[in-house]
Amino acid sequence: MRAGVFAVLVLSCLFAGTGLVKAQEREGTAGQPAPADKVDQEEMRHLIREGLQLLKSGQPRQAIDNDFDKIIAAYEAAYKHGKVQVYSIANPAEALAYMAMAAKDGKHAVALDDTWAYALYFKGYALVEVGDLAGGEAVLQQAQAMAPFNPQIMMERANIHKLRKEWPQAMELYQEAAGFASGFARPGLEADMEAKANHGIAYIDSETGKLDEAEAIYKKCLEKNPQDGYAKNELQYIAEQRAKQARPGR
Amino acid sequence: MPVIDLAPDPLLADALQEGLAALRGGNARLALDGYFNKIIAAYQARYRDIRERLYCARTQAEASRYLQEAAGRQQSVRIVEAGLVQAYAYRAYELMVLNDMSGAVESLERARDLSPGNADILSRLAVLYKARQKVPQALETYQAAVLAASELSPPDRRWEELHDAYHGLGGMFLAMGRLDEAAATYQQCLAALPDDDDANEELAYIRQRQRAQGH
Repeated sequence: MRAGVFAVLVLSCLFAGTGLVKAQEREGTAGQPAPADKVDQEEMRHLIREGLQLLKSGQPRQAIDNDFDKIIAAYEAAYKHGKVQVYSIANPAEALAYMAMAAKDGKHAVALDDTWAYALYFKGYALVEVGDLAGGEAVLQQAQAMAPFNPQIMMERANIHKLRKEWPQAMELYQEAAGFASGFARPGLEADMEAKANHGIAYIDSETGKLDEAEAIYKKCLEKNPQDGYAKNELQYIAEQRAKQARPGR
Repeated sequence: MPVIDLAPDPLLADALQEGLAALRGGNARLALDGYFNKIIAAYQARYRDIRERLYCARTQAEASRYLQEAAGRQQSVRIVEAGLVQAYAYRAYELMVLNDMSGAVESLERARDLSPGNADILSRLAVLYKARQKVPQALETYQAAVLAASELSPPDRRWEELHDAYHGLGGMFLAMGRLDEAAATYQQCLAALPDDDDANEELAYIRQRQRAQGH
């Protein structure tokens, strides 16, 4: 059976590697001291872990109210009056890229660890879980603004378009995520993110009648990871679709 | 009929997967009425004529435990596959999405009655008790989840279910300000799951709170 496996895989991706990047705050331009202790980092990370447990236990509303909103509020209060562009990074390569972007634009910027971006990301995910696609989309866009190259956030945004059957928008985001997976995914999750982005691309291909293209992608996924259960399942689905199409007098 | 028969019903197993596909980001009402309520009704019809005490088990080990405990009570039992319990769990999730907490609790309590040794069900139920401020029930259910995960969870689920149970219990103690018990819980967690980075982080968090309290 098809999309059930996909739903399970989305959850497993969500919870993979919850050890958050413990990057120090970094200043973006010379002469700007990094603000220290603006939020209680340990408390924020505790809230993220607690929120994730609630999400896993089927409590998305509780996760938002008890945890993710508290984190977001704390960081917003700490940084709202600052004139710096705040980034929230899961990968050290992001810090380099974003600081370079800020320097090019003549902006002051700071790179925090990924807690804030992931609080937004998980809130967005939770809103989608309770059927609030528009709310989820808005929050995920905020998360992406803090982490423009984060492929995990891109894929959750793609998922919303997928749920709405907005195939071109979903495809664009999955392709973008595939491009950023190797350089900007959370360390250790590069292969996982790349696989999931390719799953998304292939899914849209198969939904839009491009079975050959989808099959080719899934086969490449299996070459890289013979244990890729999602790809195996989808290849079976493609075979079933072809069999239906081939049946005379259908 | 055999006392233990864990063979899944293929039609209902497929229906559960379809319901799962409808679950995420879709219409919760549709998932409930179109899938999970119907699946539950189908299972209930299937088991309608069973007169013995009915249990659902994921593994032979779990089934054997129910059989053993029933023998101690001199009670006749029938033990079947866990599809009905899974359907109750998904139903509870959709009811929670629809803000029907009472319905969600009832669904999971039925699941617990059928599978008292299912750590996943116990942890999910404990979360709802905690959300409804039913502290003694939440604590008892999390403690049961820790034991069930240790002894009865399927091998491929054991790490995750132990993690969830220990973190749920530790989180309860933290929320109640019982920092020493919280720390002890996470230390037990690490003894069982030495690679649990989250438990290490929670212990660091507890030490910080204890320092702030002047411990």
